[in-house]
Amino acid sequence: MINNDKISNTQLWMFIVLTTIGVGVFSLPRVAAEAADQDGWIVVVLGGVITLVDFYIISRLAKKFPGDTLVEMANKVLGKYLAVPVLIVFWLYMLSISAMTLRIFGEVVKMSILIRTPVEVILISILLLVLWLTRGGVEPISRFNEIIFPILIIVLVFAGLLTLPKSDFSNILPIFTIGAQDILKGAYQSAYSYAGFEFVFFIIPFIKKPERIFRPGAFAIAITSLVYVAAVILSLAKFGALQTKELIWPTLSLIRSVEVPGSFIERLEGIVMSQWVLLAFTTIVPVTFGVASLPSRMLKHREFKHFCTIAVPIVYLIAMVPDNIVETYEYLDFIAAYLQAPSIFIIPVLLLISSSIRKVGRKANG
Amino acid sequence: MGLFDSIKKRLERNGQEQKKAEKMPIPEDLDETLKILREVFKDCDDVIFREFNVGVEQKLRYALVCIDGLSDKILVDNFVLESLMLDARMAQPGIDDIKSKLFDFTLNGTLAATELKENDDLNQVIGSILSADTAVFINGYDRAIVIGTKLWPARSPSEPKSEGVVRGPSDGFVETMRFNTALVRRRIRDPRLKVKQLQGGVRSKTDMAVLYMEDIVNEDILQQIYERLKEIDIDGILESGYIEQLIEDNIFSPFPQIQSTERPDAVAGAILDGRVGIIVDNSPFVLIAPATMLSMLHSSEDYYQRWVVATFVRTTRIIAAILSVFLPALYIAITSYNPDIIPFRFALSIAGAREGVPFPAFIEAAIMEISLELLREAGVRLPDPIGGTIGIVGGIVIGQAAVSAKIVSPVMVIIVSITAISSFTIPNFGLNTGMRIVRFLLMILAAVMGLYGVMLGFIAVLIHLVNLKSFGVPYLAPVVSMSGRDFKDSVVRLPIRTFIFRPEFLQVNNKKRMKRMSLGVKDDRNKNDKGEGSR
Repeated sequence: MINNDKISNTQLWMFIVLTTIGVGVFSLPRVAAEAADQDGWIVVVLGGVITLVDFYIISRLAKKFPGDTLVEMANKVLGKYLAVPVLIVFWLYMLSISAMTLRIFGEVVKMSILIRTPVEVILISILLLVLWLTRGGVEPISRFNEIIFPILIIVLVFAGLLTLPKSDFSNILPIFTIGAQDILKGAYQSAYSYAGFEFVFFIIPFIKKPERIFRPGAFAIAITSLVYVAAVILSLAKFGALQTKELIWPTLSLIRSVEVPGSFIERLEGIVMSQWVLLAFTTIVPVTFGVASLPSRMLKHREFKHFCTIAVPIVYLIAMVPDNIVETYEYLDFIAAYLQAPSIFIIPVLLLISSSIRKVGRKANG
Repeated sequence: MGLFDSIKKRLERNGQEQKKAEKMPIPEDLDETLKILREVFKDCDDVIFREFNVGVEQKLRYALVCIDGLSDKILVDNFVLESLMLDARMAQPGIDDIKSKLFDFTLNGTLAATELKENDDLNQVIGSILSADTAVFINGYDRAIVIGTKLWPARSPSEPKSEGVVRGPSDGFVETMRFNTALVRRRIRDPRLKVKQLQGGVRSKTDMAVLYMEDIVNEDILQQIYERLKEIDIDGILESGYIEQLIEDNIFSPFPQIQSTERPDAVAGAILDGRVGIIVDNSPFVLIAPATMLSMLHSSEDYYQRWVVATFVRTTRIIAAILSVFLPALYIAITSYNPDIIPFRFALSIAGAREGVPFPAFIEAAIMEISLELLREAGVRLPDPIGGTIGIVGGIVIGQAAVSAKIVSPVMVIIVSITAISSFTIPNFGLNTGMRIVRFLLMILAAVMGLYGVMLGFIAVLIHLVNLKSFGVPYLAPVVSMSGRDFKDSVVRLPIRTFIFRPEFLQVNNKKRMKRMSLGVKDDRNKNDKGEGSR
């Protein structure tokens, strides 16, 4: 049988990298600088470590339930009725992540390249594409990512190198000036930038080797952290901690400040912005996939496509709730405070522990 | 429901009509046979009926039926009629023998032709006559002898009009299926190369041949191709383009999902990779399935040149293909929305060149692209000598005049020309045409939403491509579902010595292609080491 469809390890880590790197990259230096001034990059590294631990829990669960998504796991472990509130919380989390990412995406595009276009047009046009890709299922999404990945990495590395001139790396000194409490708080806040990898819960049945997802996942999170740390350090080096705090999207300002003398492309903004459309798109798509996948699995409905068609307008409506960009970030703080912790920590840990106690699922070796 | 019922009924009726072509016995009486045939071939003035008598006493009545122009008359005259009418007289078998064994004598002892068949079904005999064979009827027998005398008008293999190469064979497929199978067989002299023949088209009865390597091809793909070919129920198949459109996966895609080529070496190469070739009679274009986008961007010359050059050329071609899709859209987006991303002076010079042009960039680009499409179409339709003139008149004279008249800017002319030149580097005609359509869509998006629109268009095209499959193989393979092995023959073309395995994405049965060879510099002792295990 011709079957190139199951997700290989290579595809998986590309998938996770592209999903985690998203709109967060623009605001992250500000978040980090607010939390820890010039020690911001430590915050980001810790955020990566938190994500890694979280991913480890997911990989353990995947090992125990290699053919299941979060829905079946919760049903098996917690029982039919207890699973419902848990799944609803998780669904709300995915929905709000997807919607807020979309909104920030729209605002950034509006601010940087389409100044006079209404934000609704930007959102609806990208959502139509999101709908088209999600309806195809997991395999086309992972193939899509495979094509995008090399292009993005080349542009990111190129852009990073070009920001080096006129940077002052003494700006990140002295290190370790901030208390542990602030750093942990900042790390938790920066975890939004890593959000999105939870979609892995929904693609476990489509992975070739669901028992061994930790390695590609850890590799992917390492790459993401590297990109983020680079963004933070470069912003701090260019602007200093004080100014970084004042900018809404320091990374964007960083890219705008680049001048490429003597080359055909003078300013990177247009190029990076167009690549960034891809970055945001590859974040929104898997999360929206999760948003549609969860209820369709819960109701045991066979036509996943219909759920996509319903989920996408819901994402749009939620995305249009905040009035402006400041409010969007306030909503994000709200999500971080009330939905993020239960979804990325409490639910996976709960599932893992109670599955061990109730002895459900396949026995993990060692 | 009523509608479905009536459709169902109609389908059933159609099925019955076709099953009517059942066996029809041949009457023993020659006059009766000829009467039936004359009725069948009524008003077909190209059919020849020749009645003649055989034997010393001229008592044995024979009749010969063939079609004028299709059958080889020299063969019929010299080796059928002459043998029967003159040579047969010299033989003097006993009278009894003649009576009882006349048919066998004629079949095995008289006719001097290679291809002879015996048939007792008049319908099949009529079919054979229509495909250029000659039928001989003998009075008193309910059987007919069918002689292979196919000699239809045919062109001899000449250089393919598309996909030209500098290094490599210059023979191309022709309109005759038999010649085409021979061209492939000449390249692969292996009994494991199978040539399965089918017939398609209720009225045209077009011959088709499916070619594959028995031990390499993936059975699922082969099975799928057979199933789709058998589903076809149409009156006539005039070109392989019919088959292509009838068996492809997605009919709404602008991209061809089956490769068509005029080059026998390309087909032989594809068959050795584990793909399947479909040859359709009356068409010099042979289909290759499953096809991927990259396989259509490969030219067979890539494999004949040394790998450094081949990789360079192939990369250039792929960049050209990307340029041909995106360049006009980028120009529109940059000039009308984001002039800030190009250097200030360059932006100024573009603006200066556009000074006096009354149209926005999109209209300007559309005028040029449409006139280019007109030129292209005119160039194809016109006879060769005038076609060249059209190119000069259209390209140079009109282009220059349009710039002087300030209808378009000189930069636009450059952009459109580069786009056109880039698109000519794509070896596959179908892919080239599909990309033109995508180019226009992207231009519209660029005009509406600038760079963001171009990105949306790019994403949309990519989504379409990742969803597209050709007989179960992802269209973008091997770039997607990449395994390290397939990389060597994708965007780049590494040395042939590294092509130890066949492409993995085709999931073939026999993976190994050649014996491993050293990749280092060879010294004289190993000069003739050709890798004996190669298949």
